Amino acid sequence: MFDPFITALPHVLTFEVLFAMVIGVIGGIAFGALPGLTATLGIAVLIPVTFSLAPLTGLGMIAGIYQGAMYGGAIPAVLLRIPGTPAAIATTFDGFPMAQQGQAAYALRVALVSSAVGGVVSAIVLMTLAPPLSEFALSFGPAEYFMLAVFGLASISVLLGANAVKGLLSACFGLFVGIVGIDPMTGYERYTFDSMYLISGFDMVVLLTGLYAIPPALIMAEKAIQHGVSGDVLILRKTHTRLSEWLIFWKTWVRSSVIGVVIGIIPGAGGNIAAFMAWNEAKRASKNPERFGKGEPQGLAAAECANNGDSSTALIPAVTLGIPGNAVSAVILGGLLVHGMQPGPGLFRDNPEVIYGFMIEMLLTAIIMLVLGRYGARLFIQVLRIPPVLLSTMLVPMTFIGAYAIQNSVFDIWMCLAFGLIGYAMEKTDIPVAPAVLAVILGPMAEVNLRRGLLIHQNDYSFLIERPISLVILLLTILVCVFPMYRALRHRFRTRHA
Amino acid sequence: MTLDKDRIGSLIVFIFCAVAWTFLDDMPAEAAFFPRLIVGFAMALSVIWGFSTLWAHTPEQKGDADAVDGSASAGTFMENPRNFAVFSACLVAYIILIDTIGYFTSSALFVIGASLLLGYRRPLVVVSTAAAFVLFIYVVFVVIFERPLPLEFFQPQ
Repeated sequence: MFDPFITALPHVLTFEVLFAMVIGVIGGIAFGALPGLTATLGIAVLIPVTFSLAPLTGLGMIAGIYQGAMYGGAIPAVLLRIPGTPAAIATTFDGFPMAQQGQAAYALRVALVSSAVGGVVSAIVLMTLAPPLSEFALSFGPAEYFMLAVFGLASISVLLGANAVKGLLSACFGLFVGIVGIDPMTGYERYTFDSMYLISGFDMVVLLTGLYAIPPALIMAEKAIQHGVSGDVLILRKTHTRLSEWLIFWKTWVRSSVIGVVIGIIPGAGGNIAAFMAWNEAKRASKNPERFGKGEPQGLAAAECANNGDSSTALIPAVTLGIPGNAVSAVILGGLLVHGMQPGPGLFRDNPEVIYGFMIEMLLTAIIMLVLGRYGARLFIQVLRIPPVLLSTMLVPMTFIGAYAIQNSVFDIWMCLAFGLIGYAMEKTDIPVAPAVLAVILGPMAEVNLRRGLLIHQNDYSFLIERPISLVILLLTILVCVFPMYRALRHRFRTRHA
Repeated sequence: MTLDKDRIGSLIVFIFCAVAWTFLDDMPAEAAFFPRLIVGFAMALSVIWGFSTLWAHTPEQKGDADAVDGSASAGTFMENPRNFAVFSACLVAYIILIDTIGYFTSSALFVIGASLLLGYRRPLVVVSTAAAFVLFIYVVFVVIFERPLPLEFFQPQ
């Protein structure tokens, strides 16, 4: 079982790859610390940087950004009560009160160590579960792949936002973007309007950078906040924590890691849900639940451990089946595609040193984050001093480099801007963006497998439920779609009869 | 306001789907199969979205409760239309300039111009930020990663 990891290890332990991971973690913490900038945005903007790098070097940087941003989100959550990333909302509950009680440095350290613990556990679970799951997935045919794509899309569309209709509309937008270009089965041009730029369809990186990087820049520019955070707020007092003092957290870490790991595997459920659940469970298990929300370190540890606990396991369906479970894994999938690798079970057979190396990198970056966060906290928090209005103007040129770098075309920059404006409108109307991104990846997979299956079975749709696995996935899809409706109806019934 | 945003949004989606549907008739049936599914489904969803605003009776359903949790639906579509228009115009001008005077020159102009137009009143900070930023981009993308970027106006084509 460990042989592929041992084979991949020397490829990871090179100066170039380790340096890329360090740079990635630094960049990730800085991105995560800036409110409004997420791990997804960080990876999307920096994917073009990795174009010219060797796959393991580029993926090491991506892993570093991911892990770093998950912890970076805790910095403004603790210091300013502003979650740097959506996953850090629960961090504010106890982190900010701790900072107000003069324990900002201790709170940041609890967040850091808890994040690292969650990240390490999650990476170990990824390394344990992904290889056998990929072998199992080798037996999948068109029916299973079509059903998996539908399940992935349905679950993220329905579970992600408050309004399932808007989630599904977002998915439809992504599916539509995915069909632009040459039809893979007939070679007919669909919605290309005879433009040579559209023949090969929209590039994933253009869509990602547009949808994720331009809307925050537009929103920051709209608010035009002229001042960054005052330096007085960003002073951390020196603290020393003994090893024995960390042991009080072990039960919380175990519980929260398990929650994070399990939630991470479920498509559509992200770090924020894991953090909320872990915080609630820590409160429920505590002898002093009344302290939660008022500066209880256990609450902070639970939230941070859980939101990093899902980081690697969220990649399990992405790397084994090619089905991203959330936006950030969709972006990482985009990164794999950029490096010429097709995510799915074939990845473990065709590029073992890269995929096993990437899993090792997820583990190592969690440890690198611990070291860099420990010694660089005072430096990282200084990014909060950048005035948002200046930040918005600098974010755009970096985004446009990514769009341009795909095929050295200014047309892609225009497309990036167009997607950015669409993303802005989606954000303002509460339409989640993540289903659209996933749909761009899953759409072609669903279409090709459905049509291939129909071709093989002479247009008989029953092939979709003939095999037990596809039938189970279909039932799960129905469950995912029906459950929120049942919950909403029950809520409405109770409200009416209250 | 939420209702207006949702109604206008659903109408835009419906019109987009209707236009997209008209192109399907020109496609071979096999190539149009999947797009027809998507566009048809999106059209049905846009109708449900639009009608759901009519069915909303309680303040919570109308989205007024969103005002409490700070969701985007709570406020107006644009917080500051002037700043949005200024920044959008800067973005369009920036892309045109990238193609004509080069990436680095236009990026420096964009950072300086957009910041000042959005009301940032410290020219020295803006200029030094723009210079440092452009230098950073040059070192990272051109020197280290050797990414080709649109040529500057003073460089030979």
